[in-house]
This record gives sequence, C-alpha cells and structure tokens, in this order.
Amino acid sequence: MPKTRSHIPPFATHQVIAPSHTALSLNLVTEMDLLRLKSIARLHARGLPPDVSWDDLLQEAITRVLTGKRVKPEDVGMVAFLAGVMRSLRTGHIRRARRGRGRDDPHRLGREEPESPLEHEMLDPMADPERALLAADELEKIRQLFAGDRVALQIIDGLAEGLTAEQIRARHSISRTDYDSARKRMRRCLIREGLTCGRL
Amino acid sequence: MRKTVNRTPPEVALDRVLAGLEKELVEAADEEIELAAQDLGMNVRMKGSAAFIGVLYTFPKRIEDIFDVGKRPRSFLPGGRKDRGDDEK
Repeated sequence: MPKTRSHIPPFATHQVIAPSHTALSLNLVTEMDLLRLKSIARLHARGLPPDVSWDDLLQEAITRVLTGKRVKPEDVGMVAFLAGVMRSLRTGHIRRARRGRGRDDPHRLGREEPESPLEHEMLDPMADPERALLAADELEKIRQLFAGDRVALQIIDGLAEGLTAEQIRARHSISRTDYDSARKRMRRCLIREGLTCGRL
Repeated sequence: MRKTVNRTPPEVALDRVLAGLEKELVEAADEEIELAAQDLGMNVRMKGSAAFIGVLYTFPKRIEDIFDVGKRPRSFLPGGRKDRGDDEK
C-alpha cells in the first residue's frame, strides 16, 4: 500500500534542529547574541507581508551564514552581520510582495533591480499605496513605543528624515548626555518588545 | 498650518528608522538585555527561559498547529454544501 500524507498521523512529531541551535553549538553566537538577534528580527519583521514572521527572517539569515551563502567579513561582528542579512532579506520580501501585485517591476520601468534602499527610493517610492499605508502604520506603532519620551520621539523623527545623531542633537538642542540617556531608554524598550513571545 | 511638508515616503522612513534602531540593538550590552528581561519577569540565565521562545525553543502549540481548523471542507460546516457558492455572496 503506497504511503501518502494521509497515513501520517496528525500528531506525528519529528525533531528539527533550528539553525539558531546549530549556530549556538558552533559558538558562532552566544545566548545573549540570540536574544539581541531576536529583538532585531522582530524589528525587521515590521511591515512585512503577514506570511513572513520574525523567526523566518532570523532562521533564514543564520542558515545563509551556515551554508556559506553569505560570508562574514572578518572585521564585522556576527550579530551586526546577521542583522545586515536580515535587513537584506526584509528588502527582498518587500520587493517580492510588490512584484506579486504587478507594481514596482524593474523590467517594466526599464531599469535593473535596485541595489540600495536609496536607489529604491529614487525608483518609485509611492508605487504601492498599500505598502506605504502599512509602513506608515508601523512607523506610528514604533512612535507609540516611545510615547511620552520627547527626546526618543525626536530621535525617531530624525532617523526617519535620514538625519545623523549630530544633526538630530543640533536641531533640537539635545545635550550629548540627554541623547545617550534617551538611546539607553530606547534600547531597553526595544529589547523588552523583542523578548515578548508572540509572533507579532 | 505647517510650513514644510514631509515628502519622505513612509516605506523609506520606516527603513531608515529600522536601520537606526537595529544599530542600537546590535550595540546593546548583556546587562541591558538582562534588565529588559527582568522588566518582563524573565530570567535569561534560567534554563528554558521564555525569552528564548522562537530562538532556542519552539512556540507553544496552538490548536491550528495540530488541526486544519481553517481548511475544513465546506460540507463539514453546519448546513454547508459544496455547491452553495457561498464565496460569491
């Protein structure tokens, strides 16, 4: 009798070792690094299509490093490198989501695929109103995380405009101490947000 | 009335904010992670801490992980018939 999927009981379990486990056992990352990466993954999963979760981003990034698809430069830390890979995966998911709706097609526009977010911006930033709305919503959610923290909100707005730390400080006359204190509060808030257990 | 109009598209602004906040998280110290976990009542030094769910431990099972609750044949639904064409309504 041929075995088909219907013969597999629904409660059958199989042990799958997550790439994050492998990275930990190979000493590529520490447990604390994994928590950093979890927070970063949850951050980058904001505004992604609903079928892509933060753990997909994280495990895919680790898999790419483990399989050698992404090679880490020696002078870059593993966490920073994996964060960059997740950022790149995020861009890819957004691009695919746009293409799925037939918009932002680089071939249609007669151009090569944009390589950088800046080029992406120049290409056609308002090509997909639905994604723009979703991004605006996510931005507002991020601002709400820091509601009541004036300096933190000034930093967020400055980042959104592409300002550097010096420019943000100069624009709002924020002292270095106040700026650094706000960054510390923001980090703690973001980690708290990142360590919660939901899938977003 | 506002003097200037913010022309930065939301997607670009979100990308910039995420990149900036990512940098903060990369630089976060172990102590900051421990303190943030304590705020949530988690002890990251404890084996099996909930902080590692999704990273080292799997998510708790939900009913939809075990049964196809959203994919029941229409004929199984109360009073449902395959040829009723509910989708068109």
